[in-house]
Parts: sequence; C-alpha cells; structure tokens
Amino acid sequence: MAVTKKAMTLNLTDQEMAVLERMCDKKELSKTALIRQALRLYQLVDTRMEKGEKLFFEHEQTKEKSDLVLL
Amino acid sequence: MKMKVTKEWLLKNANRDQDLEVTAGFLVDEKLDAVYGRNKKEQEDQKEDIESRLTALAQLINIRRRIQGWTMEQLADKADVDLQDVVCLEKGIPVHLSVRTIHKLSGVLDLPHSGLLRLSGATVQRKDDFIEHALRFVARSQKETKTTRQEIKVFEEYVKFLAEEQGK
Amino acid sequence: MSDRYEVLILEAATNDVAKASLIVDIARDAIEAAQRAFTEFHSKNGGSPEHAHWDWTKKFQLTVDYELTYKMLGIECGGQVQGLMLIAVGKDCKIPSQKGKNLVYVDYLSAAPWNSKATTATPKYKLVGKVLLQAAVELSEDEGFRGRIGLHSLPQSETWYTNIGMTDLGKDTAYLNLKYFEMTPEQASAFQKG
Repeated sequence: MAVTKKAMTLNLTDQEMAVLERMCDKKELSKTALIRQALRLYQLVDTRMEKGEKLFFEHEQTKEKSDLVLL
Repeated sequence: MKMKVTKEWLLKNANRDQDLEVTAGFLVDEKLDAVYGRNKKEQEDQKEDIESRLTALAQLINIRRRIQGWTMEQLADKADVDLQDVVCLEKGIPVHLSVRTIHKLSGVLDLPHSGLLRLSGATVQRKDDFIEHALRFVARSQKETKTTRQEIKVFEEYVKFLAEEQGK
Repeated sequence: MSDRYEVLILEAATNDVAKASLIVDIARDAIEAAQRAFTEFHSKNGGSPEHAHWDWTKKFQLTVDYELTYKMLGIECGGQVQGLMLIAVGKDCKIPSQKGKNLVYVDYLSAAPWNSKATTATPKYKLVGKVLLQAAVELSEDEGFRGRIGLHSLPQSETWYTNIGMTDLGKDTAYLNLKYFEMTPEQASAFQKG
C-alpha cells in the first residue's frame, strides 16, 4: 500500500529556479525531494517557534550567535 | 518502499551476531522531557533518589578501591575506562555512564554488576527498599584516608545485600 | 494513516520463518498497547537494558507535532508489536565525504523485551531490529537520500553496527557519549544485499 501523492505546478522566478537547481546538485536530490525537505524543515522550525523557542545560528569556532533572519 | 525480506536473507543472518542487540537512542528521555515536561512531584522524588543512589555508588567504589590500595588513575587503567568517569563517580557527580563502563568497573572491583547498574540509574529498580539500603550504607560508612575495620564491615554487608539482590 | 508491508522475521528457538507486518506511521493505540505490554514484561522480569524505561507514547507525540519529520514504525507479529523505531527524516550527514547531504536518523530503535537476550533467556523472535533498520534504509532511498542513515548506538549494539559496515564516528559528547554511526549509500547497498 503506497502513500497517496498529489502533483502540483510550481511557479518560480529564474533566480529561484537557479537556486533550486544549485541546491539539488549540492545535495544530490531531485527537485521534488529538495522541496519536500524544505517543507519538512519549515514545518519543524515553525512549530518550535510557536512553542516559544528561538532559532539562531552559532559559529562553531567563535561561538558567536545570530538570529535567523526572515522567519 | 519495497521491503523485500526474503527467507534466504533471514536464514543468512539467523545465526550471525547471536548475542548482540540492535538498539539505538538515548539512555533517558531527556530530550522529550525538555520538550513535553515532567510532573513536578515526579521530578522532586527522582532528584532525591538520584542523590542517594549516586552517593552510595561513590562510596562503594571509593572504599573498594582503597581496600585494593589503588589510586583513581590505577583503577581507571585496570578497568580500561575514562579517568574522568571514575573521578565523577567517586564525587557523586551525575554523569551518564555506559553499561560497558559499569560492567568493567564491577569486574575489576569485584562488585555485583546489576547492583551497580541500578545505583548508576542505568536500570530501574523494582524494589522500594533498594534506596533505603543505599541510604543506610551511605550513613554508616565514612570517608577516611585508610579504611577502618568498621568501614570494611559495613561495606561488606552492603555488597552482600547487592549480591543477594542480583541472585533474585 | 498507517501503511503495512508484509515482511518476515524468525522464530528464535527454531529459526522458522514467521510472517509479520511492517507498519509505517503506527497508530497511537497500537503504541500504547505495546508500551503497556513492554512495561508489564519489564516489571515481571527485571533485566538490565538501559532502555527499559523508554516512553514510546511520549515519543509518538513528536510524530504529531513534527509530522513531516518524525515517523514511528513497528513490526507486528502474532497480533503483538515485536519492535518499534522512531526516525527523523532529513538530518545532516556528519561523515566528511557526505557533507551537505541528508539522511534518515534513527532516533530510537528497540525490539520488544521478550525478544531480547538481555531480558529473557528464551527470546521469541529474532532479526526484528535488523528488519526495522532495513526499513529506515528504504525510507531514506524513497526520500532521495540514497539509503543514508545515522544513529547513536546503545553500548550493547556498537559491535553490531560495526559488523554491518556502518562508519563509526566515535563518542558524541553532545549525546551522552553514545557512539554515533552513519551509513553511506555504498554501505546501504551492501547492507541490503545482506
């Protein structure tokens, strides 16, 4: 029994498509797989932030912290 | 997903790694407790139990090591475990130890393996009086440079208790 | 909603093949029933495993809150859950050669206590853990991660993961000094061949 899937059309700008293709090459993922991973991460981050947590980056060496811009 | 598990594949693996368990994950549900919280009374009770257990474990190892006339470094060497684990153990610092480390220490110190596992918190105790016995041992044994006869007697009685528990 | 796949495991005493089901996205009530059965078994039999007090129903909540990331899988045989696994999809690889790639992370994996030599002298079924790990590898392939998986091993299983060819990245101080293992696509392919 397979998971049912639905197809959709995605409209992207040239710039967005270029980023998508670059990331697919880097991660060795198909466009579909990469977008699914992006959605997964977005949902995870969004849920944790709703619970009151903060998301930030920490530099491995300097330990300097910075907020994630945008979200 | 295909999940093709064939009879041949199964039989090929049937007798390999017979005594090895396939497990993965944290020793305790710390991550989930941080996310979903834990009942306050449960937390307080557990904190007291943890302190009693760790103190008993610390003194048990400390006394046996001194009976043997070893330094902490020598113990760590003989048991092939990290010195840091031995130091933290003897100070009663709540460090999470692997079953392997407990096993090695209990072997070298000739102490009941399952008793040490329970004191370290790696396994859950079945009996309510386990903590009580641990507390009594802690209260009656004392830390001195040389082990006294009294200390040794109290120590041996407690080891006997742990060994009897293991046999059950 | 759960998906079921027919799989096989072995009866431990006889090596006879037993028909089982792999359930992906196992339902809450099945997990609660399994948790009750595991707890009852442990309280009757004691035993040493470090994971004796894992709470699978609490882990289930992750699959609700982070539904695209966490999945719970189980093996059912003889009307009972024989093993459970919680996976997280899409974590980053740590092996240098796989940098920037993603994997399926095995958050928790355990056979039922009556199937473990640590808790009983007469285990009921074997290869439950291995079949679950196979499922993790296949899910990784389905996601486009080419079979890459990662996990932190409990001490009694370290040798097993080494034996199946996983890369040992050593003790992870961020995870209670448990050893971290990863499987590359090539190792995954070899593992599936058996």
